Amino acid sequence: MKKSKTKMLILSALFAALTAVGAFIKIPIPFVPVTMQVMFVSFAAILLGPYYGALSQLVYIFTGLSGIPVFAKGGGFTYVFQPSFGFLIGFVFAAYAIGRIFEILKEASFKNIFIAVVSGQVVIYATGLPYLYMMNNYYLSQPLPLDKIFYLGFSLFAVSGMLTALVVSYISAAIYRRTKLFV
Amino acid sequence: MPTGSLVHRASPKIKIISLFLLTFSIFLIKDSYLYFYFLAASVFILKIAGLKTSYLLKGLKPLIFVFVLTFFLNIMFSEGDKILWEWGLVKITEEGLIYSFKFFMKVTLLVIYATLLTLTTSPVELSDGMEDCLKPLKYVKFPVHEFSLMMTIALRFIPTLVMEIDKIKKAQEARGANFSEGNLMGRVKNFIPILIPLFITSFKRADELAVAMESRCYMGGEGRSRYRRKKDGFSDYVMLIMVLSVIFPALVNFFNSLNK
Repeated sequence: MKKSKTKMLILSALFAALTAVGAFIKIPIPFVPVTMQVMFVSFAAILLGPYYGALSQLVYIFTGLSGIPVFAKGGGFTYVFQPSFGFLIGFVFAAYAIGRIFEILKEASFKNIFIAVVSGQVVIYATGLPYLYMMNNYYLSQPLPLDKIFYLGFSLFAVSGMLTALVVSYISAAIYRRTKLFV
Repeated sequence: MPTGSLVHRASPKIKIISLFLLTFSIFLIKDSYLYFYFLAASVFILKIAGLKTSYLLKGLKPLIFVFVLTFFLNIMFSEGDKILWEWGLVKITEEGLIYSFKFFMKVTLLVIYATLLTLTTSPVELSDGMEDCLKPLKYVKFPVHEFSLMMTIALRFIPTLVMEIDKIKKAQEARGANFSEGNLMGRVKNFIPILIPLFITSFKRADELAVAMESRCYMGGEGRSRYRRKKDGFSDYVMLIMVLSVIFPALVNFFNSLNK
């Protein structure tokens, strides 16, 4: 099918909507439930490329900020003050990173997607953790020491992040082959 | 909740900017009595908008528990010199009490004003207003019009997608799929038969919408006019004056505390 600009815009809007829905779907794995959000972020990046992938996540964030409850804990402009908001900002950069790396690697094998998604996760944590630190120390004034955040972030990344990346790249590789004809 | 009131009629651009200004000034407040002033102002706006207080409380409901909990945690565990009551680890101080109260009022007011915006503005108007507010970004080549179009489309699709997922899940269950049992790998694999139909129907829908838009000569934001057009009118000026009069004492309070 032809790829017009209009279609790319609509597809990015669709992925913004999917990310919103993904916040509420969880794969029931014991101890570390994997939300589908990262899945849709990486899929948007892989299918739409870095530019439209990042745009779709930006649309998602602004939809939430303008007051529609699409985030995991509601919505509204005040969500900026949530300590976890940094992870949402991370989605934008992660989508760009994943799309870019996938563009370079080209082939949609499990290994390639895994590399892209893991680097996307690194980007999400690299944006989310400093934000968490700043919010806790300067806004909530419940100081969390830097090493504690680093430790917490790293263990979260090592367990939940890597597991999510594994699941996401497994599913993505399976789905990409079957759906790319339709884009 | 459309009531056709003055607040509803004001342009969404003005309302978004007002919310921004109000949020900022709430953070500038130093003296506690001003929190009550802001609270009274929000009730006043609610009454002008012709809405019942229960709508506002409904918006607060999911968050109030968290706020009250933080309030009590703050009271019990914040540091201070003047100790009013002590029991083991729990220590209630005057400073802690004041701080917790201020924090509680701050977050509650933020949510109240954000809820007021969503109560008086439809989602489509909100994304139009967002487009107006982001317009200056055009100079750095940010696709402002496309952005607000995408917001509207995304909003339109969210309920459809939720229904779609539900339908696909039921269809696969009818074919014998089991989503709640199995080992780890099995559970992950179970999601593939949900996601493939979901993606394919979504892509088809996107394609249909693109064809429909292009056959009506949609070519992007350049030189496109709007179907609903709102001119700045009486209600906008009233809104602006109202908001400015709410913010003014907070600003005065802030600058006074700077001078001390």
